[in-house]
Amino acid sequence: MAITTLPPSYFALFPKSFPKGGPPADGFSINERSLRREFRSIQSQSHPDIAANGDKDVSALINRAYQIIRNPYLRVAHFIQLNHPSKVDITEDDIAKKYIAEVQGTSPQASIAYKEMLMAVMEAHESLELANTESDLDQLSEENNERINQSETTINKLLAANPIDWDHLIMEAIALKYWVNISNAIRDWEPGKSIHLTH
Amino acid sequence: MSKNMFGLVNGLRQTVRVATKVNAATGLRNAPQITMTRFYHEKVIDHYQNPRNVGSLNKNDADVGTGLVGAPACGDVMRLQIKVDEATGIIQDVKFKTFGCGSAIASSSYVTELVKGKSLDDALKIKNTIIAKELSLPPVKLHCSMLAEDAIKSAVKDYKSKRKGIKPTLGAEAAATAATAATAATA
Repeated sequence: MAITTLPPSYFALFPKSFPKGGPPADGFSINERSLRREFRSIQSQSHPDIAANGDKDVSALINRAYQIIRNPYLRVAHFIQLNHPSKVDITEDDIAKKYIAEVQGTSPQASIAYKEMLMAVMEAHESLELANTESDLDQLSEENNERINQSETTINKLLAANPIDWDHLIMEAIALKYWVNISNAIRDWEPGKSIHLTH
Repeated sequence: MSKNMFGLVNGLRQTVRVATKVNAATGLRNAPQITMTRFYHEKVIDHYQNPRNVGSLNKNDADVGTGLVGAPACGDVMRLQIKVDEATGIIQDVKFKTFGCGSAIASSSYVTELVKGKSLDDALKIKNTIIAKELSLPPVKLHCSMLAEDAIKSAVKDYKSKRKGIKPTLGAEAAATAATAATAATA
């Protein structure tokens, strides 16, 4: 599937999960189980290995949409790209950095807030590095899930506002990327195995 | 323990496919054809497997500058610390810690070797393109070397801001400091 500069709304592909076409009309948070159920049901009609009149391109598009929507960072990034006045794609490193620099320039507090966030990220990774057993992970996992929940709550609030505070939303989305990475690192943790982030 | 985390070379996902084809005429196998989906330069693998200068310095020391930076699109983080000779302005020691992909770790490690012994001004001249070229990073991994460049800038800035309280009274630097102070006062 060719990705054009502006992708179609992936939310629209899941009408049961997003009856109003996606956030902000629908909430930002998803029910993972029902999204998964909807994904499987749609895929059973389009996957060439399952459905007689399946289409490989449609199937690939649905797969991609599902991967994006189930990941809170990619979901908010997709929302931003669809709805931001400049349709920015914050999954591009230089674009995300431009916003960080702008926001950091607005006030010393904003600058400190970003630094503190990075310090928390570094600390979380270092704690994971020091983990010896599976049980050590429980607390780290709990802490990180709490961060992700808080981040999703903030995003929900920001999306409910009119007009949307885009800079704030973008900064929250960027922070979410770091937390999602830590989540993945915890998930892939094995005793004695190195931490390696793939992307 | 920190060595442990960098141990896995297969984390670099170096994929080499060896294809053999049977020659129809001779019935013999041709020499293997090697196709590479993503081949990393041996320098990247070396710096990834044996990263140099991993660790930390005391961030509270007056002669230590700490840079903490992130690559927002990847979610990688890097901390780079420099210990500066206060008399000469030369970087005496450097330590780093990076949580990221193989290219980010290799770039970080390489850059620590690069800045050691350099003056602050020369360290600021290090561009990510130099790092990427030296390590032969593929284009999709260029931004990983950017993390290392950002980290140096951030560490030097932190060191300089720590030194602001102690003003030189003699020489060109003193004049420059006075000029900056004057501009700041009028601004």
